[in-house]
Amino acid sequence: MAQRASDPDDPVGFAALTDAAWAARSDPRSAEVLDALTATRAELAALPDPEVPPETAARWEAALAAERDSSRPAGDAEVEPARRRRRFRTRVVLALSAAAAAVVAVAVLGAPRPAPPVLTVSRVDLVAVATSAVGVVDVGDLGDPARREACLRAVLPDAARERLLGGRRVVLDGRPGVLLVLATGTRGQLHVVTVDPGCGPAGGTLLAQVTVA
Amino acid sequence: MSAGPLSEGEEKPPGYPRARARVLDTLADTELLAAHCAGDPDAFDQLARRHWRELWAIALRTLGDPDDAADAVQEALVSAYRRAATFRGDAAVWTWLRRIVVNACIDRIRHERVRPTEPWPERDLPSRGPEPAVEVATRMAVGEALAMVPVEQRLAVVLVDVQGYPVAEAAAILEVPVGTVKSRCARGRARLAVLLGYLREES
Repeated sequence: MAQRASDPDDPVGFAALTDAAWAARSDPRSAEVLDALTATRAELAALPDPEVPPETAARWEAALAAERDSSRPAGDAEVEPARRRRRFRTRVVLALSAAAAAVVAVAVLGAPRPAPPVLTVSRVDLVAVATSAVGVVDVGDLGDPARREACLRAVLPDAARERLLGGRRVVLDGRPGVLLVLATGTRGQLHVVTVDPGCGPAGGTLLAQVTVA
Repeated sequence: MSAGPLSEGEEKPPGYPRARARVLDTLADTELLAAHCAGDPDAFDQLARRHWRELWAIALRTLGDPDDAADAVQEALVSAYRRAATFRGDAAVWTWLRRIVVNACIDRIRHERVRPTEPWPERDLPSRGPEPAVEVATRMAVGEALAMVPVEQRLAVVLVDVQGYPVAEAAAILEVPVGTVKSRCARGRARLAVLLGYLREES
């Protein structure tokens, strides 16, 4: 942060002096103007460096996690042949790079991280589980945005266009399901929706739904 | 490599997240951006965390409202995440990220997506009076005063006078000539000097 007075083009702050001198020449109360500008700059420089509130940082992390999830390729059905060939070549290069990187990573860091365990929850736990699910994306086939939207359109149309903040596979009151944490678009308000794992364009079952404000 | 984002309370091999964070921490900004473009799931988070305190400071000083600032930084981070492949290296990653936040702030202000600022009647502008105690009690706080300065001047003042960046760096972030930053700073400071009560407004 502290880069003040480090301008290589202006190591002694001539810009400030020039500004003040210009203002002083243009104003008959030159001393008053110089004092005022100096005091103003001092007050601006003394503003404390604000800390990022933890809840704000958590929100940004969740947004990046949702972005990471939604940017994963969902299939090539409509990719035209020329583009497909380019993508194939890119994939080969990426796959080789990824394989090399994985070898290094395993050697340096240990085994790859396993998928999060399936949680057994009851309805009363849903909000607490939802909080821990923000930023985690372990939602099976519902990781595909098109499938997720179709599923939600079938079981809870109001939530169909909502952004995914996170999700986990769960067993809710004895039934397998996928818990999705969705941004409602209203600040501070989340939708926690649990659907069956096969939910998709052909429909599905809404196991639970709660809005957290 | 990693199967997905790391989170609290999740089962991981002992030492995995810390070791991985340490490895990423050794990478320069450009290397993190390249790793992100090559598909590393954690590289952009590391880059964002490295810079978001400054991005937050710029947005908060420029927009005044913490919720607006949080929205602007979030928009900027997501935008940078998506546009990472378009980064050409003709500026530092550092400058590029700040430019995206500045543009997100400008976008919010121009599209009036910021919370309205209370209008400040001209006749109530504080001035240097004979009673310092009254002056201290009535004059405007710096943050409120900044909100009353036109956005281009405000950004120049925030970058140069509050964040302390060299004028040339501010010019690179704002994508304007150095002389433009200097003149915007001069006009912004003069306006602030009036708003903060150090100077009487020209009649």
